[in-house]
Formats: sequence, C-alpha cells, structure tokens
Amino acid sequence: MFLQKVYQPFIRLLIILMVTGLVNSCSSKNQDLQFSGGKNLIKSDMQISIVDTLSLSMSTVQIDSLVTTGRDTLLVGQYVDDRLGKVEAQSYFRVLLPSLTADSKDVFDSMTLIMKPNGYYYGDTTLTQQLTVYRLAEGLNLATGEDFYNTSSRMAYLENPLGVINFKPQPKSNTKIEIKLDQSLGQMLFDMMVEKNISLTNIDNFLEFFKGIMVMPTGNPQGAVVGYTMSDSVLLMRMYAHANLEERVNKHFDFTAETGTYHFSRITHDRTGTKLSGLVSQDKSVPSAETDHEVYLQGGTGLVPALKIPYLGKILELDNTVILKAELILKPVINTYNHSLMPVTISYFSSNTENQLIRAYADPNTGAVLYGGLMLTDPVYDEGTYYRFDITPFVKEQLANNYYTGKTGLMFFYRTPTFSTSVNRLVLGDGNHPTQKAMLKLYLLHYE
Amino acid sequence: MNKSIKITYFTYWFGLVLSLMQLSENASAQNYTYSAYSAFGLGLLENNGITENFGMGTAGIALPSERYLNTLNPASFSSIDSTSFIFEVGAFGKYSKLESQGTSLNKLGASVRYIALGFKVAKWWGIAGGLAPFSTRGYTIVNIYPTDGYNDTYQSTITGSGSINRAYIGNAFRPFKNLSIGFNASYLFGSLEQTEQITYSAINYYGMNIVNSNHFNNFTFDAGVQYKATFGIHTILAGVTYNPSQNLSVRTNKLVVNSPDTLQNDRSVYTSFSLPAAAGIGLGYYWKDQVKVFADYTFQQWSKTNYHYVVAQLTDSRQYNFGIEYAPERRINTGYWNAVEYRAGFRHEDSYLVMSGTQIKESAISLGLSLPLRNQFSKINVSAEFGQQGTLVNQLIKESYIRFTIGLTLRDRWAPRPRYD
Repeated sequence: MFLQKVYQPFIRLLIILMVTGLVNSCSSKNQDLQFSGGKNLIKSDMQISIVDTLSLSMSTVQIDSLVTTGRDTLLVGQYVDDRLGKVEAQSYFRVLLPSLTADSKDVFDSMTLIMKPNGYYYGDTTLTQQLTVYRLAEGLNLATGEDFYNTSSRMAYLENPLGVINFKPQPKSNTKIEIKLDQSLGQMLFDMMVEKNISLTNIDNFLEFFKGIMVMPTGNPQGAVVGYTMSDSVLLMRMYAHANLEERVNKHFDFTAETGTYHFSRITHDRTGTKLSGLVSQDKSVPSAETDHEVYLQGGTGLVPALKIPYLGKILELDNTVILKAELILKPVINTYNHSLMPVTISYFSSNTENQLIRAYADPNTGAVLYGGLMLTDPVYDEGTYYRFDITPFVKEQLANNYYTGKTGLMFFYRTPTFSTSVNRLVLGDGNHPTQKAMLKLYLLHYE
Repeated sequence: MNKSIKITYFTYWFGLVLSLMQLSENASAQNYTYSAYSAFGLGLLENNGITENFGMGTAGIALPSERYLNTLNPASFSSIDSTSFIFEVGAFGKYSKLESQGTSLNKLGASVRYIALGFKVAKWWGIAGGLAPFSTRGYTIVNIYPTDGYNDTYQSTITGSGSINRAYIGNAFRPFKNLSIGFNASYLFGSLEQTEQITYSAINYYGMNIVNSNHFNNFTFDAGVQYKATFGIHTILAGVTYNPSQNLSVRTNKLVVNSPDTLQNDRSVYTSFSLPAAAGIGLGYYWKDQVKVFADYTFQQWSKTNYHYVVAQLTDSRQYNFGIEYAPERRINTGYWNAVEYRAGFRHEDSYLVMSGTQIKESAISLGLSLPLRNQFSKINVSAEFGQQGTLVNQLIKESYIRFTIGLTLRDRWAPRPRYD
C-alpha cells in the first residue's frame, strides 16, 4: 500500500530518534568528566571552602538530676577516677511473695539474694569487690507523676546488714551471684509463712512489713560498677527449706523482684579534691581552661560537656555564602579510654544560658535524629579516634534570621549505652587542647 | 476517502506529533547540540533550510520553491506550483567527535528539525509558514576542584541547554514576470539555560545548584528578492536576503538553590538582546532542468552588537555556500534512479565567535538525495554533512561531525482538477 510506504520510513525514524536519545542520555557521564573541552571556557559560579578556625568555647556542666525510675538495669558498684573522683551506684528494689507456702512439717535452712549481671560494666573488674545488702526502713513509694532520680532519691535502711559478699565480678560471664542473707530474718519469714501470718499472705501487708532491699558497694572504693538484670526470673530472694518425709525433700520459696516502677539505681559522686569540686548546680559550668583543656562526659552522675560557638555570626558577614554542612569533631584525650568501654554514639541537644536543654535535631531529609558516632581510623595505634557530629541543622537554625545571639549552645549525652544507666566516663579535648583539638568544620559555598 | 486525502490527514496528524515532540524536547532540554561554543551569544545559530538545502551546502538564496519549499529566501514562495500545497518535515541525527587538549568525546544526538507548509493563494502570491530552531545550546562541563585547605575535591557540573525557535509566515509576490519579492514575519521564542550543580561526597544531603535561564521572544522581519531569467536551455537566477538589526526581549531568571532552601531567586529581569543586521546574496544557474548550481554569501554584522564575555568576543560572521543538484530525468518512466535528484555541496563559515583571540570556523561538505514516492510529487530526502568546527589551538575544541538529515516533502493537489497549462 502507498500509505504504508509513507509510514514505514517515519516509524523507523521515530525509533531511531528514541534510541539515539536514550544512547545520548545514558552513555556520556564518565566521558564528560574526562573531556577537557570547554573547561577553560566556561567559568564555574560556585566554590566550596572549609573553615575550621572558628574558636569553640567549651565547659563541663553538672545535670541536676536524671530519672532512673524503672530502668531494666540496676547498677551496683563503685570506682574512683583520677579526674572525676568517686562514683558509687546503689540499687533499690522490692520483692513479692512466693507463689507456694511452706507447711508445718518443713524445716528452714537458709535465705539468699540472687542477682545476675547483664553484661554492662565500667571500671576495673579484676579487683575484689564487696557488696552489702540492707533491708529498707522506708517504703519505695511514688506519687503519680513522680520519679526516682540518680542522686536526690534516697531511702532509709536498717543499719544491720542482711548480707555481704566479696567477689571478683564477671559481668560478661552470665554467672549469677548469690549472697547469703541474715539467718534470723530468714527464720522469722519462714515461721510467719508457716503460721500464715497476714504479713506473708497479703501483698500489701508484706510490703509494709518487708519494705524492700538495697544493695550497695562497700570496702575498697576502687573497683567497677556492674549492671544487673532487673527481671523477676533472675533477681530474687530465695528461701531454702526441706521436708523430712521418708527421705529429705529440698524445697525453695522465691521472693521475686517486682518489675515495673518501684526500683531504681542511685548514682552518687564525690568530687572532693578534683577540679570539678565546685560544680554543684546545673546553671554553672567549669570552663575547659580550668580543667587542662579537657571536658568530661559521665553518664549516671550527669556530667556533660557544653559547647558554644561565640563567633559563628562572622559567617553572616560573608556575601553570597551559604553553610552547606557543619561538622563537629570531638577527640578523646589519649590514655584516658579503652575502646571497648567507649560510648558508641553521643547525642546532642541545644541548650540555653541556664544550661537547660532545648531540643534535639533531625536530618531534614530523613527526619532521623542526628547524633555523633565514634570513628576509629586506627584502633591499633590509637590514632584518629574521634566522634563526628553533623550539627548542620543547629548551625543553620542559629543563623536563620541573619542574626546571631551566641546564647544557644550544645550539650552532649551518651546515646548508647543509655546515659542514666551507665557510668562511663569520657575525656574530650577542647578547641585549644595540645593534641586532641575539638574542631568545627564549616563547609561553605560561595556563589556568584 | 481517496488516497490523497488520506495522505493529507496523515500529514497533518504527523506534523502535529512532530511539533509536539519538538516542543517537549526543548522543554526537557535535550537537543543534538553539544558544544561549549554554544554557551555564548544566542548559542549555535542554525542554518535556516530544509533537507534539500542541506544536501547542497545549504546554498539556495536564488532558488525558487518549485518542487520543495526553499526556506532560505521568502521570495521563493511565489514559485510554489499553483495547484498544490507542499508540506516539509525533517529530523536530524548528528554524530560528533569532540577533541580538546588531548582528550576526546563522542556524542550522538538527534532532534526533529523543521516543519513547513506552503501553498499558492494566487498566481502571483504564495504563502508558507513553519517552525524551525533559530539557535541551540547544549554542553556538559565537568570539573573537579580542590576544596580549600583540605585534601579533598568536589565536582562541578555545568550544563547548557535550550533553544530558540522560530515560527514564521512568509508571503511572496510576483509583481513582474521573473521577479519575486518576499517577506517573513517571524516569532522567535525559547529559552537558553545554564545550570551548575555541585556534587560533594562530604555533603551528603544538601544539593546545590545555580540555574541561569534566559527566555527570549520577539517578532522579527526579514525580506528577500529573487530574479530569474531564461535563455533557451540556460537559466540565470539571483537572489538577496536582508534582516534588519532587531531586538529580542530577554527575561532573565537566576535561581540559587541549596536544597531545600532557595537562596536567591532573581525573577524576571528584563533586558534585550540585539540581533545583528544580516544580508545574503545568491546566484544560480540551470542547465535545462537537470543541472542546477548555486553559490551564496551571507554576512551578519555581530560586531555592532555589544556583548562582552571574559573569553569570547563577537565579530561579523561570513558564510559561503556552494551547491549543485543533478536530476537525470525527473520522470520515473525510464527507471527509478533516473527520477532521483542528486546533490552535493560545500559550505564554510567564519562564525561570530572569537574565543581566546581565535575565530571559530566551520566547514562541511555535503551530499544529498531526493527519492520520489510513487506519486512522483512527494519525496523522501536524505542528506549527509561531513564537517568540522573549531580548532585545537589555544586549548579550544575541535568538533568533527557527520550530520544526517531525513526529510519528507509531501506535495498534493488542492483539489483534483484538470490542468490547463
């Protein structure tokens, strides 16, 4: 047909156009890069530069109180740090009634406290540690909306210890520790159970009678803080007994820990004699110049580094310039850390002049909260270990109205492990540290 | 419906599709141009012609529109056969090898090139109109720059794109036998863009780019005259064209984006760009209806325009075109290949661009064929140009290319009626 004769070449032409269009669009990227033609003829209107000379004002701040209510880790132990003084962790919890009861033919043997490490520790676990168990004299009660805090919450306990253990902690081994408790208390609870005393049949009466347990470190202050699992299966007070039938039958009755709200770790510090001894309230801070150009981060006790960028406003004086990225580098001071005990991620928040937190920042594209990560470029020679933070949204926010107050700063917390249930210590250099300088890298784009 | 009406419908339909393709292609900023030279002035100026012209060195200022629409001179439209209309459509494919400073790059591009339609209103009056590119821009420059003070680099990609199109209507009149006068009223429209984008691995989520776009439009006019005198088997032809200096209005937009923020958006700054005065003269000779020879000279006075670039100056451009067409029989009766028209030509241009003190020149030889379809009026036309533009001196760019054009000339009767010649 005549029509087909007209059609066909044009259909072919269309196909050629499409195919060549595709070839053109997908084949040339790398070639363009290598081809020199035009590079000297057509001028770039944009340049990138990096500014890393803005001075940083750093200090250490003491957070007043950290909530430690109902965490799934209980911390017990103590250690002394040459820079930050002594840290001590005590655990408070209460136990519930066993599901079975002893009968009159049973004979009481002994009572123990069983605890299981959860793998967390900080300090020296090669040293013998002493733990002492006390009976609480005061109930672990909270009004609605209240919390237990790391340092401010404390409960009275009876002076006579229920038990003591001396041991070398093996936090990674999964081995439970068992502490023998006072024999007379055990006998008394057993007798009351046999008698079906209301204090051992009704839970409210029991918690009134046996208000709870506190475990604290005693003895040598140099040691480790170890985490124990807060779970009714591995944290319990066990009563051993036997029945004399045709043959001896061993029994035990478990007063398991109450999970949920009514337990906490009390973490205290004693900074007497250190450079931070004057640091008592959150609105105060100790400048890094007074602490050998170091700032400190210690979970549990609430010691955090704070940063201000006094001259960030200088960027506003540059015409046709925009901040592409702001990257903060914080370096740990050599010989103050052990890689395995370093926090893996560190979160940051903006803070006001009273060192109160304002907010966290998110990646504008993904919405994910931004935090700093540990970078290990050479773990063998211990070089190039640092934390890197993308603080672009913070910097952009501070300069958003073309006006910089300099009043808002940043504060840094552990993200992993959890800040309130860890006592890891990190020593970071400030902007003037002789070797481990903190640095703000501003990636600037100039355009014409 | 008879065949010729079918063809007519087909033609309109096809013309519409191709125009849409052309427009969408401009919008998506992909065209066949790939030259850093197109960054300056109005980009690379396109020869105003059709496949038949391109087959013979784009010569033909003196050529009447006897068998196809000669868009090189509006005066030619009065020569359209009074009983038919002519539809022209064509597309380009270009394969280039670019060389500069010891590196090279191969590029393949294609684009719809032109559509045009012409017919006779009266024996002394012909009209034609169409759409074709006036100038094009296209390039990608990738540079790696060091980041200040750090052992680090980033990449800048500068992309040029866009085109200025020309929609025109031409009227040609024949006040005396052998003399024809024509005028084109054109509307130039389109935009030329340059986008620079920075890629930097250290910056993983903030995209940066600067987009400079210039939107051009205005009406322009040009005129032409053709003269033809026949002495037995010899015919002498002459033609001139003239474009007065005219202004294009330009709307300039500059957009600086650091995603998701817009840093600068200078909208709609109006300026104007003056098009230079241009004149062309062409001569032709026919031996019978079989051998046709053309020679053109065109001059554009860019030196009078006032543009300054750091690396480029504009100067007067001169173009020389020579072409020959040979048609053995113009009838299919004695064998198909006797009805084919054969063309060859040569052109040379000293362009309006002086880069680093060196004027950019272009030369090409060309070959072409017109293959008649069965009704003998309509033809498929092909042409190939083998050309070279630019130079390697002063770190400039030399482009060697083969450009194929395929076009369709459709001629049909207004209405089937007996002819009395």
